[in-house]
Amino acid sequence: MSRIQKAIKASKASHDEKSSRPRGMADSFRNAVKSNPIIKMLLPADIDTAAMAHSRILPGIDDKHVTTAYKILRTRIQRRMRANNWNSLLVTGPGPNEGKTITAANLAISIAKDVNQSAILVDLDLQRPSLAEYFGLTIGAGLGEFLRGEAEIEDIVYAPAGLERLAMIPNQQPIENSSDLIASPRMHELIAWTREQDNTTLTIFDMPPMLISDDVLAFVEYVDSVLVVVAQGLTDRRALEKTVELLGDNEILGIVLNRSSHIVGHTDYSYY
Amino acid sequence: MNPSLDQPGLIDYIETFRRRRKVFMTTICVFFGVAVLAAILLPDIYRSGTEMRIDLEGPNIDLLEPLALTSYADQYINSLQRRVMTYDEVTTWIKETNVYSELRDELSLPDLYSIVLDNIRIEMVTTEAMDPRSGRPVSLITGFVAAFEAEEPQQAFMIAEKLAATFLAKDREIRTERAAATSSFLLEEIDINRKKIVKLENRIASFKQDNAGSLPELMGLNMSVTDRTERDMESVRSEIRILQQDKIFRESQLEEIRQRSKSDNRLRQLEDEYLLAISRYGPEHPDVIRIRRQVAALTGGAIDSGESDEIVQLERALAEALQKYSDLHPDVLALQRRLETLRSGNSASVSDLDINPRYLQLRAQINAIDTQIAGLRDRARMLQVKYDEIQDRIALMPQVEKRYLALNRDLRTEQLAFEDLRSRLTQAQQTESYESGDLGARLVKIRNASLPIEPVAPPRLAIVILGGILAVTLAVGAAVLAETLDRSVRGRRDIQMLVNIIPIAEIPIIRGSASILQRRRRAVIIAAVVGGAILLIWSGT
Repeated sequence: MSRIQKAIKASKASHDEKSSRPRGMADSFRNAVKSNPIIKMLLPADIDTAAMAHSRILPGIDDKHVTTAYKILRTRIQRRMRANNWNSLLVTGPGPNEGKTITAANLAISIAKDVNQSAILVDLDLQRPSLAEYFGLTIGAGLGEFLRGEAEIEDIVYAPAGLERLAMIPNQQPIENSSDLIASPRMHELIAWTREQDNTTLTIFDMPPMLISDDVLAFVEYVDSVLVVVAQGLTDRRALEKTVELLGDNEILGIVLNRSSHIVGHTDYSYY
Repeated sequence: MNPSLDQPGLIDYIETFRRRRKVFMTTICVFFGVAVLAAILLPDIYRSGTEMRIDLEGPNIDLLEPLALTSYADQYINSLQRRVMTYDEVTTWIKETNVYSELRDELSLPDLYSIVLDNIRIEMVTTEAMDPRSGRPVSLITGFVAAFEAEEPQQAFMIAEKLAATFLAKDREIRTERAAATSSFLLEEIDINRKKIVKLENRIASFKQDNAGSLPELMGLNMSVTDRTERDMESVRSEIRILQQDKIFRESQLEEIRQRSKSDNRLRQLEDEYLLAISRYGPEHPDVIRIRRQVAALTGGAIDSGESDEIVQLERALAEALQKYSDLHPDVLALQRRLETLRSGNSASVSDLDINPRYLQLRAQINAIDTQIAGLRDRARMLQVKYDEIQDRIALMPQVEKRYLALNRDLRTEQLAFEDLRSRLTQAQQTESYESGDLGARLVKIRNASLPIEPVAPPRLAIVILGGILAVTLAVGAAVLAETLDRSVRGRRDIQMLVNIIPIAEIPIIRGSASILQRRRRAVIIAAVVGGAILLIWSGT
């Protein structure tokens, strides 16, 4: 067993124990969540609201149907995560341009709006990082620097201005050998760090499409559940079947239908 | 579970429409746009036409039978149309009216010809009537409108006038042609007929010549000739018979004379011998007795009593004959002649025949009778030949008659045909003069072409409406096609069917406020364009 795996196990164990031992930044983050002021420990980062509106990130959306839909999504996810005692979620989809990053970002923002919850949004689409661009973030080091050992976790966790209870780990430079790095010790370190957060903190990993990169399959074992994003009129039906088939036994938290022509509120939703 | 998941409902159709509205709207915009453009841009078409009434039977004239051209008006109109719309006619109009002068440089005459043809409109004018046989209402063609459509009212009018005039001219042309064809045909027939008659007459003449005596009309003559010949022959025969009897009689007289002269000579000789013997021997000498007997034999019993004995015998026979027959009976006559001869002979005894004038006379008479008989025989032969000839002719007569009658019958037939043709020709010539005039016209102008004021086409509103309907239909088709061909995920229900997972949430398409504004502006522009177009069309029509 490699050192990394041991570390993850240890981390899982400590997580399971619900250890309340404060641990550097994680502690301070948790405390910050609880005390609910701007997290001073995290690196403050400015966001560009115009860029966010352009990228269809929540605060920039004034379409009531969309905001309602995200609220429904958040509520259901929270309920399921809580019921299973999960706190990490992987967002992927069968193909490109299906709205995975937007869904991950808007879900994270929605969750962070809940005063009892906080969210960490990680840009794990290593080959085509885009979160920083979507948020219009001006940052120094990102996930790439961390994975290459050029920076530490404290250097890459940002608190976007105006979005309380949300932490972001963005990335700016595309990484070629992504599948090697996805299982690297540094990654394990990051995972361990996320697991150290308390159960009110939900970590969301934005990942590349299932059928384009094998990153998801390499990483899926480190998360509690998977959210599959499908775009109506775009996602090939066979690709969806293939994706579900590939995920196999892994927990699929649910499927989000993007670009839906169905207007929320016009018909009843079945609750369960 | 929601039942709407199993069966597509109205909501699903609405969703499908929402999904495909881009394709739908694009198709509508394209096709409706084309229709609107066409409605706006198509040029005005003016139309000018002449209405003609068609009367196939022609005006009613008692003495005359108009040509039976055709029993169907549409057929007649078609045949007229074929004559009117010829290249020559149409190009003549183009040259005379100077229409399409603006196109003359670009297009050749054949092109202009086809343009004119495309713009000619022949429309039938019908009237409702009852079919007397079926009792159903039928529409009868009573006339037609020959119209021309053009972008210039003046052009439409000019060509329409030419069109009408040509129709009328062609009507007359057809009638004249047909009528002339009939009379020229009849003339030809008459010529053929005349030649036949001349030929037959020649044949009859030469036949008469060949069978001169056997012609049926000579029957009576032949019969009378036969009778006469028969009578002639009979009289000749009886004449010959009489002459022959006469001859026999005369010959017997001749023989008698010859015999008498012979026994006279013997008697003289015996008398000489008797005298000699008596002188020598005495009267009882046997020789004397023998001689005496011989003399007695010659003279009949006793010497010098012979002749009187015969006369006695003849007188006895004559007396017997007179008891039986009349005085004129040939036997009686013959006996009388003989008796006369014997009595005269008794008185004049002739010693030598050559010097006997009676003998010589008889000979000459007999010769004359022979000549007469020979002449009569020749005549009898001639009569026989003539008779046979006439009989031959009579025998031939039935055959000759048969052929003669046949020839005459043929001639009569041809003559009748000739008469018939002559009368028909007269009629045809009358018809021709009638049909080639205005009186026989089958087409009558009811309404003259006029200069059009209002355009008749294009039907701008109809184009827009039809274009709209077509656009919607095509758009629906395009949407259905797109939906069918699309292999992408279509919604909640689709996902559930595919992977048996109900989506946790559905996020509508996210539009920025800018794009919403844009859409509104676009909708306003489209509405303005369509409204403007419709207004334009309204004002155009």
